[in-house]
Amino acid sequence: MSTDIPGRRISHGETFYTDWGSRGGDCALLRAQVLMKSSSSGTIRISMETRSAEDTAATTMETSYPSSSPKLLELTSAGVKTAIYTATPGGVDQTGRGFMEQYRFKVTFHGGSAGDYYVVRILPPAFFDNAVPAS
Amino acid sequence: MWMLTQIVALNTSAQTYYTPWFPKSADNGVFTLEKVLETINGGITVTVYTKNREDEGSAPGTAVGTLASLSAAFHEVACSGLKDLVRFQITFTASAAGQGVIFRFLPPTWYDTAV
Repeated sequence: MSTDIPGRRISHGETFYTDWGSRGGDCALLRAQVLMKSSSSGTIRISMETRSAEDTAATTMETSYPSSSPKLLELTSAGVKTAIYTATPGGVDQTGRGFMEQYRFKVTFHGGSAGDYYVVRILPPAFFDNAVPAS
Repeated sequence: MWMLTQIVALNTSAQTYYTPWFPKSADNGVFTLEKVLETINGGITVTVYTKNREDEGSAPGTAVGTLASLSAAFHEVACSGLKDLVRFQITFTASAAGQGVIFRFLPPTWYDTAV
């Protein structure tokens, strides 16, 4: 049981990164929940970045779902939403998909106006590996 | 180790299968199925059921959601108010013997209600 207060207020103009974590597989389901929204036009964009343990630079990843731009998890209303990262044969270098050793989240308040905010929590990502040869 | 599940229709009768019951890890969950290959015309339906540990009998429990398509391969449903145990019901009707589906369930996302 966790008694942490769930979620974090993300305000207009804000961008931040989480700490790095270790991947649990080549692919992942990313889910986040909007607990509260006070914005008419702003959205929350959550993307994943990856790197090898010895790297100091990060590579921005692209989702396979949604498959159209922006290829990230975009939250626009209350509730839980999913994005899927599936690895490709060439790994992260070809399309920005497929995890290296570490990952982190980049969270951005996109658009909107001063005073806007969301309260959002990122649920633990579910990692998995390819079941069939990737295309 | 995860293994894919393969179900093959031996006839054209309606088929219903259940997974074993497994305990919930939170009051709400998002369940995901990855369909690797399917040759069943009309597809399959996967429904999430829940019951308490003390509930007796072989009844499937209470339906709390049916998986819907996110993409060609991935299907999910968000379920709330889960009881102690959860399982999946898989139903389909093949139009010819030998049709089948290969799939796997991915790890659920569990979370408790925050607001």
